[in-house]
Amino acid sequence: MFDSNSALISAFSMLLTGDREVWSAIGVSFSVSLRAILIASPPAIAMAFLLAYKTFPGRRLVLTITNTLMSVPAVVVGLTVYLALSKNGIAADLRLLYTQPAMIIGQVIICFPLLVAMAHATFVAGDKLAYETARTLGAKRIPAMLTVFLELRFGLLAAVIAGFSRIIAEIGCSMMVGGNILDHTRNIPTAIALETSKGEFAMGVALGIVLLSLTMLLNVLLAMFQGDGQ
Amino acid sequence: MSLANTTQSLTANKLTFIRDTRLILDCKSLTVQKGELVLLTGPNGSGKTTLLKILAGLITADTGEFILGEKSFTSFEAPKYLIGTCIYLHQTPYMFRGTVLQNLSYGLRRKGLRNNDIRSLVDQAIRKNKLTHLTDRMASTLSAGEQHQVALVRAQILKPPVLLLDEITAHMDQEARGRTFEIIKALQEEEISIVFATHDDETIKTLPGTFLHIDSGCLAL
Repeated sequence: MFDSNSALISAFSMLLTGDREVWSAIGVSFSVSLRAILIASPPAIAMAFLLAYKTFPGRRLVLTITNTLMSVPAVVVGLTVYLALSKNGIAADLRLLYTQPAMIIGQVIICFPLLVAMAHATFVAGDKLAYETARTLGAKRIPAMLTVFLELRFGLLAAVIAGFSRIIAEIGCSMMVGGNILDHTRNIPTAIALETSKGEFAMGVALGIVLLSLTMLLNVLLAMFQGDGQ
Repeated sequence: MSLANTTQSLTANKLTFIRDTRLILDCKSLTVQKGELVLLTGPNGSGKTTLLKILAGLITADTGEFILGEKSFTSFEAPKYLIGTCIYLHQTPYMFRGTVLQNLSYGLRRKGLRNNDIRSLVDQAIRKNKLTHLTDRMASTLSAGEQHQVALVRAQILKPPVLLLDEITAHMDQEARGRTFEIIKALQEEEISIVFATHDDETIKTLPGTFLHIDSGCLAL
């Protein structure tokens, strides 16, 4: 029978004594998800800016597609990436299946629509006069755009944190394209799934504590960064 | 350190601007002489803001030709020549996050000036316009009148040939209006050309300038 107290004590012991498997999964999670969010954020924010500030044919369609893609389950993204990278897939030659780059590709696809949608909402809610003021004071297009990013940094940072939270906790795509290989592609969610299925609750709890602590830390950092920003 | 004085006249001919098949602006000819103050009047929705934004290069007119100083160009080339040269001030000014000092420095930084030169130009402008008490205040905490003053000085500091003011005295109290008029008169002394869109009777009575009326997108002297 599952003893929650002993599982919790073992979990803390594993974290504090530097259990190799636990910290390996934590390392993989951070390495993959941080790279994915760093790759996805700049183009997603730039795209959101264009959608908010420029009018062009098909703009509404792009917004609708983006909003639709937000609700696609991670496992469906995983399946698509798996099919693309597997032996007969269109990107089979890249030989990326069951590697961290495959997981990064999947996570970029998962967080991209969310980043675009949240950044777009930030730009729409922000004051459009910022861009015009920057331009009329002599800023070229890109510096003026960067000025707007800086003006709306709290909202944009919240979008990035939401995107990161989504991918660090996703399991479907990581399991499918990463393969859950110890020390290579086993991250926190796939390790939790594996260990609990084996009845090893302590490790699952330890990794769960890390995920929860991370979420709390990110929100505290966001709150501190925002200060009295309104 | 001072920026080169680049005062020059601005002429716009055959400007048209159409949006959703509706003719918003049809301006045969408009000339603002060097150092001239043009008071642009007209009812709401008559095309004042559209005209000013076209002259600032923020909106591209569908047709039109411009002459700025000795340089002539078409409406499609206009943003390249007008942005940063003909500065537009919104009815409600936008203050960037940060202090008044940082706001005043914004345009100078875009010109790539060195920090020492920026500081020296900003200090001069602050002293000249009696803004010393506001320098370290966060710009977002200023009153509407103070924000307009800072926006005006932020533009003035760049020594633009043309300033385009969009009803900036509309929501000011008597005192703020008086200070704004002083700044505008100082700008005239620097031979900066100004187009001032206004409804305000006091502005029209106080500031000596040429009148231009716009109605349904058409200009009349």
